[in-house]
Amino acid sequence: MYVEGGHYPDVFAYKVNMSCNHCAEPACLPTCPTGAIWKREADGIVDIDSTLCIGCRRCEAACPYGAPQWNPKEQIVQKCNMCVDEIDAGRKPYCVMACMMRVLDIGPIEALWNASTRRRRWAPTTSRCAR
Amino acid sequence: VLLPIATHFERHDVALPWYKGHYYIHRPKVIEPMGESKTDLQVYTELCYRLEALDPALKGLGKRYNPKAERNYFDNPDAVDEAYLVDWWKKVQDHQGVKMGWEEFKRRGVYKFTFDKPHVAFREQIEKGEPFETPSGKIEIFSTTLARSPTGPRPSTATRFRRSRSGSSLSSGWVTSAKVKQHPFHLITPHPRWRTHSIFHNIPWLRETYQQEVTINASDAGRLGIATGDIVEVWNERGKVVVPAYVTERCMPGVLVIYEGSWMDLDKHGRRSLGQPGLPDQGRAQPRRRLRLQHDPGQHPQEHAGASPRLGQPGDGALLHLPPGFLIMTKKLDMKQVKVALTRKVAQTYEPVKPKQQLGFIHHNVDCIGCRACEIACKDKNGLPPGRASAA
Repeated sequence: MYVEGGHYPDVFAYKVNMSCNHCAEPACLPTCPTGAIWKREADGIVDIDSTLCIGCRRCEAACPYGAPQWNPKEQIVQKCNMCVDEIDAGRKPYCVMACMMRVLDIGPIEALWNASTRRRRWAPTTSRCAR
Repeated sequence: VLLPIATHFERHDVALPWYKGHYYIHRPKVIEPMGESKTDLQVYTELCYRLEALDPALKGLGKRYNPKAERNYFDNPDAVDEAYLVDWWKKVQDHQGVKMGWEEFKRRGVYKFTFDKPHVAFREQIEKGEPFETPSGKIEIFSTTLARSPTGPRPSTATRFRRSRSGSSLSSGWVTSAKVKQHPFHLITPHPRWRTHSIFHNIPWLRETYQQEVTINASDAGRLGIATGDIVEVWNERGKVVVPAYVTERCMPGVLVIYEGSWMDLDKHGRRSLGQPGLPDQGRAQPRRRLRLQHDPGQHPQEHAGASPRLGQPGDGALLHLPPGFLIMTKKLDMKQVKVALTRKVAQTYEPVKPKQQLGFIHHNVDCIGCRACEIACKDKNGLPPGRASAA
């Protein structure tokens, strides 16, 4: 998401990557008529069971962040599930792995709040190297 | 004679980032050269051997040109290329104090130099007041060398553009040409971030990361009644382009921006519609779809009725008095599963899940360049097609 504001010449702009916030109390979850949306106990990831989604799009309307998105081909709603299969395999989501500026990352929310997580990953060098 | 030359994806090489930079990049051969293409070095080596055969005076030319190679280099260059690169890396290690080995460099893909203090361009000139290598010793916008050249001085920037006394806006008279009355806008055409000049314009995955558009300042746009997404024609006596407008405060008043390098697409009026095939930009120019089941042939040609077993035939709509082309969903659900899911949903609704550990995203948007690689990676993983999300 691209955000800009101000008036020329005093302007600002920045980008926000906000796929899904995996909320503590997801607004999408109670709206699902088939119970396809659920929050995982292990890591708090909010996911949609595509086999149960009937494409009513109520979750899409309920989410204030636009996370659930309509797939016209499949006639279902899909959303970010933080690549649960990658998480379960001990890896990071595709978006994080693809970030060439190393500005996107995931981690336990407390660690993100108190900034104890590694703030930024660097390209490999002789002195500091991200493994 | 036109010889097909391999791309850098098809040969083993190393590179410095453009332009210069504090790191080396390893460029492995990703695929074998396509078709009959060969690398430059293969072609020149082979040419040397063939010239050698034609003229006795050129004896040994092939070996002189490419000492590490035999004649079979034309068919398999890999070992020789590797040998040259190993030699080069030894030089790098000796001359630039690099300790990392060649194999390690290949494994990591990048070697980044570290400095004791940040690199500052023109540090000597800035900190010690050393002169630049110009007649005046300063950075010369008006070149005194050119002014004294035998061909006479070239018109300086200062005589072609003169800042007005009244203000900094271009539209208020920076450009002094008489044409300004007919052409109130100054068009700049920067290099695009999303392609290399015109190369890669036709890559769908890259096309999805940007919109070929004209950027216009909000006050100029307001005066002309232009909103973001409006299709506008930009013209002078040299030609015309038709593009969607992007209205922003981040553009200087009186200046328009259209990125160079998009492919030519003349319409019947001789105008260039740069944004093709997304013209008019479907994501913005079309009204929002009001009915969720409406068929949208523009976005997903493959989604015609019957393409997916989950979709009903257009005729099904007749029962609901829907016009042809509308689809109804006929997904069959396992009601046992639904019952379990609903129980879970009710439980999670009334008592929010307290996960053992809550994972979250963190995004340092100060350093984000908006390349949208994250979005493309997501679509790649989830099998979603390139192109904008549905205009629903």
